[in-house]
Amino acid sequence: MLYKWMNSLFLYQVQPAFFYTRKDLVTWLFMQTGIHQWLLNNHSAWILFDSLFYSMPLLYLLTYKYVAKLSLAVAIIMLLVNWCYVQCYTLYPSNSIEGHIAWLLFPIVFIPSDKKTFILLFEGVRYFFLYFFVSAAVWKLAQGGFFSEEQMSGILLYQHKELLTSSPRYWQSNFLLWLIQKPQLSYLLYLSATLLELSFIIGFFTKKYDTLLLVLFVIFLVMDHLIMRITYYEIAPLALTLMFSKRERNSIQTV
Amino acid sequence: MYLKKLYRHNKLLFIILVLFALAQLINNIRQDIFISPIYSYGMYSIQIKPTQFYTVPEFFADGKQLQAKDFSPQQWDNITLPVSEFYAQDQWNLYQWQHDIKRLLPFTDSSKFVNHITEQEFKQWYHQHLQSLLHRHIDSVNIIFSEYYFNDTSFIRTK
Repeated sequence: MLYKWMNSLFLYQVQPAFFYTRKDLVTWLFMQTGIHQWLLNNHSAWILFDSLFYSMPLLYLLTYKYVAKLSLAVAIIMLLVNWCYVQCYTLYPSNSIEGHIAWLLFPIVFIPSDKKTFILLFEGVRYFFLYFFVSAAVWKLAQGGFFSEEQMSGILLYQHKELLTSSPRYWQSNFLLWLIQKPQLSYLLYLSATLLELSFIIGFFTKKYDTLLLVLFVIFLVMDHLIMRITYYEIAPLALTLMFSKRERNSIQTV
Repeated sequence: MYLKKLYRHNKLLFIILVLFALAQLINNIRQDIFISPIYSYGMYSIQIKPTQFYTVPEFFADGKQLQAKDFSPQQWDNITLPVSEFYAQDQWNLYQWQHDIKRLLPFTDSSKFVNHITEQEFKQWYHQHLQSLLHRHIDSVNIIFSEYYFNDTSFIRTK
């Protein structure tokens, strides 16, 4: 939350005045309600939405601990609030909806009241997380990016053109330019990223390497930030499924 | 095995999760419209070759150019994305309505899918937005789309 606030990512900081219609059937149905338009230039609505969205996890926790019989209702409300907020938020010039997938999926895990269903859903989210990375690697192979030696040079030029033109003597600009001028070397970065993503396939067969996959995920996040200036931290909660995969396996065996 | 455990525990949940997984796969193969929460994660997968000419938006507050190095990646996106998306949304939103939304859904009113903001209104909004992002009063805001030529060693402004 602090990271998002410091980077002006709350809705009241984004201050939406227009939207960009996404190519998404569910989004179109949602847009028919007009909520996304109601939020435009609506300061008090932004505060309301931010307050609801960011307080729901705490509200759920408190309900679960002290008024357990209401936790199902609060979990469902959290799911609805998350969907409503993320659908709207990602229509505005902010981040992609794909990067918010954790916000959309995780509340589902908290809906069931019995422990075994919770654990099975949690494990299901783990498989989704693995798929997230493996599919990214498959896309690179299927769409041909993997087979282009100039791929990373082209990406770096496109992604960093503003940095390279506005700050040509900055250390990061010099580093990026050096990578761009050595396409084979920069391609190694792209190759490494693809292989890193593909390595998540091992998680479909065994949980033995979940800690290693967790480390690879952190490396991916850090390198994406440093090299690409793309921050994908919103998907970090999905990594919890790797952190706790052995513990939930033991729990299932005892349930 | 996970699916076996799931099937034994709750058959309905098993069906839902298997359908979700299949929908993910099918939608990725079809490469068509998203159906939330089914998306594809193929960023920077298509072949992108270096080109020689680039159009670069440049942002000026009180005559001084804002530089990406002075902002975090997210803060820089807050500065640049509204501009790139505003100038694209007019055509894109209408295209979506005319080619996909009207075709697939029984809607007749486009007003929920297109914006009604003029360029002047956008510029006024952007001025306020930039002031709030930079936490200071700004007298003038200018956005210039410059053309650059990349000659393998540096960018050279051409226009």
